[in-house]
Amino acid sequence: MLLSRTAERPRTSRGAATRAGGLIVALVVLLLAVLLSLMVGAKALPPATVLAALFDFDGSDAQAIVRDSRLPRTVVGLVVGPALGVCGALIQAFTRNPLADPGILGVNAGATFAVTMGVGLLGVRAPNAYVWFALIGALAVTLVVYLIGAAGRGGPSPGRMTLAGVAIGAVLSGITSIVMLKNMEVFSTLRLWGLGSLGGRDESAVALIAPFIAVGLVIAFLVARPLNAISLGDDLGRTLGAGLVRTRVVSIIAVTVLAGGATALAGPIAFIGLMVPHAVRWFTGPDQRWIIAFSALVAPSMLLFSDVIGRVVLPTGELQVSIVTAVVGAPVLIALARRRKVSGL
Amino acid sequence: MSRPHRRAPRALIALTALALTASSLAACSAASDPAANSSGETSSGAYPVTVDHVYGETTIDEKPERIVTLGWYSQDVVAALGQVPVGVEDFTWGNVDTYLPWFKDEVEELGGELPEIIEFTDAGEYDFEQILALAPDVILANHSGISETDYKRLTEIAPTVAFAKSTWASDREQLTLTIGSVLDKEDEAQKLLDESEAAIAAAAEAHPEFAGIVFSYGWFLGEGETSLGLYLPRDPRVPLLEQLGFEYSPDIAALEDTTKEFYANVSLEELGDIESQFHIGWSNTPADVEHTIADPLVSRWAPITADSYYFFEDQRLAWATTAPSVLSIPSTIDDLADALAGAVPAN
Repeated sequence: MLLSRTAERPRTSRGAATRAGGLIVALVVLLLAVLLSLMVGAKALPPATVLAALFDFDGSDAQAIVRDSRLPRTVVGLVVGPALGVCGALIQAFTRNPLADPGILGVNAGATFAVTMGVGLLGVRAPNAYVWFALIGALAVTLVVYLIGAAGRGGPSPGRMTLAGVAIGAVLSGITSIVMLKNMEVFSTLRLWGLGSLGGRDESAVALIAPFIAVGLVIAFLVARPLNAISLGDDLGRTLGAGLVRTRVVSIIAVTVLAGGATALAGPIAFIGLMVPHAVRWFTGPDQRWIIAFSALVAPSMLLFSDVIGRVVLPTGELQVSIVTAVVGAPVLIALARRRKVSGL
Repeated sequence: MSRPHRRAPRALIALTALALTASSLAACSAASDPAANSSGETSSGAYPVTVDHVYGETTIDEKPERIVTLGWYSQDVVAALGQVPVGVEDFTWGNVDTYLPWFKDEVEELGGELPEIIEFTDAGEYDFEQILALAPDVILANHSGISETDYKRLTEIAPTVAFAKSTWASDREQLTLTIGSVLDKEDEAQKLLDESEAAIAAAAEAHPEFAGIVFSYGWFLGEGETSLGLYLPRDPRVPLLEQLGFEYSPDIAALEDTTKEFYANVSLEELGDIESQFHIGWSNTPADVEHTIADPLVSRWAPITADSYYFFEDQRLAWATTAPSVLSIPSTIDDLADALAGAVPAN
């Protein structure tokens, strides 16, 4: 929407002022998304009730809906959204693949696999335990993928890592669905964890994960400039002084922490990490610093808008945000594919 | 890869079906309405029997000996009518191991062999090869969630009876009499129904405190869920409890047309608008219950605030309300009523 206005000239370099202006617009849109997320839900509440719930809580059931449900899920969206968007941006830059998403390195599959095994084999039930399983699963898979990708000559190769990630991800997803199908208890416990959602998450899990994601975001910003150099190609990047191996290792750490943390908190949510950095590049051009900054603001907006849609679209009950992002994401991807020029890296 | 394996039997089945059709054509005019049949156990005049269901009509040409049941419920009725199925689904859940206890007892009493457990493939489909190998005469999926595609594949194996209208929802009388007609034991089926009704009526009489309590029945709240699944009146759980004297929440009943499922999801934001004095739920573990009632919005819902709820911790009893059959009711209705009596609000 906001970006399509300038979509005709994707690769022209833009002045910093224009991009800073764009950043402010993105921030305003995010504030709008937050407002919508607090105002709109399955039950229609007058704006006065919503405001009172936030600033003058009287303990009524109507205000509790805002304070105890809409506010926490908005916070989860604000924590998970930037993680998904920035993680996607990093992974697209790192693999130099414009259609890469966190799933391509097997991170999400690893997190989901670990949680399923924890519930299925160890009988784990506490939500905070899920968080640890997801993080450890994400980390372990990334490590394996990295070791495979780094096995050949010339250090870790994005191509090999992508292959390893896709392969391991497929194997783990397969095992996960077998366990889910064979075990009714695991299935009924995880039927909705497996569908990412913002609502119904434990507050202590948010407090636990938010610092991880904050660290991941900081690392992402630090690694943005070296990633710019790498995007020119390995040889040219090396000439420009980017520590190839170091940049890649740091990027992988950031991707793992961000994707693992987001999955641990909200379950697997697809499309945001793929779509947002891609769309953002129409406006920003190929500079990773701007891509990452914009992704960090646009992704949570997308996520919150999707969540709001999911709350009101069904005659009764709610649709998980991961389903909405997939439905919203598909047309955007088609639009991307129909453009004459893919926004390059 | 399984295609060549299956091709031969399929052709065989088609041939057999053709032969059967030809042989039964003569008898066709005799009687096709099962209700009109008198049920002399050995009289072959009862067949063919035709059953209507959601995917069409199924004709059973002769008395089935080898029966596979899919979903829940049907296997109980078959055993109660004195036949032992050759294949049933796995009922393992909590303290229930493989077979429902009343079903197992009945099979042992009949001196039969416990049936094979129908497996699911890794794709989540029934293992059709396994069902084929069991060589059933009829497949009863009267209370199940089989899709039309499943139905078509099953029909190639044996005449298959699907559910009457919606998935996992059935009427006890209709289901019991249908299976009775398929087995040519309608009178016995009616007798079993009468016994169950009497057992329920006796339990209701023993617990007058149930009368008029508005109740709701649903799932526990899973991690990351923002809506609660509540059963619709077409689910057999609801009428059973109504027979005990409870009244189902009119707010949930009003949702019946919003979905084709046997349950409706209600957003937690709107849960407060659902009238209920007593909430019944099922769960896998006590931790599920804790998580459910600790949710900030669930904890504000009338039955939870009033501490007037019951979550099944005994999966045997949970099964007994999930698929209350003529076999399970006589052996569990008193336990069920006693368990609920300990949790209902005092009048």
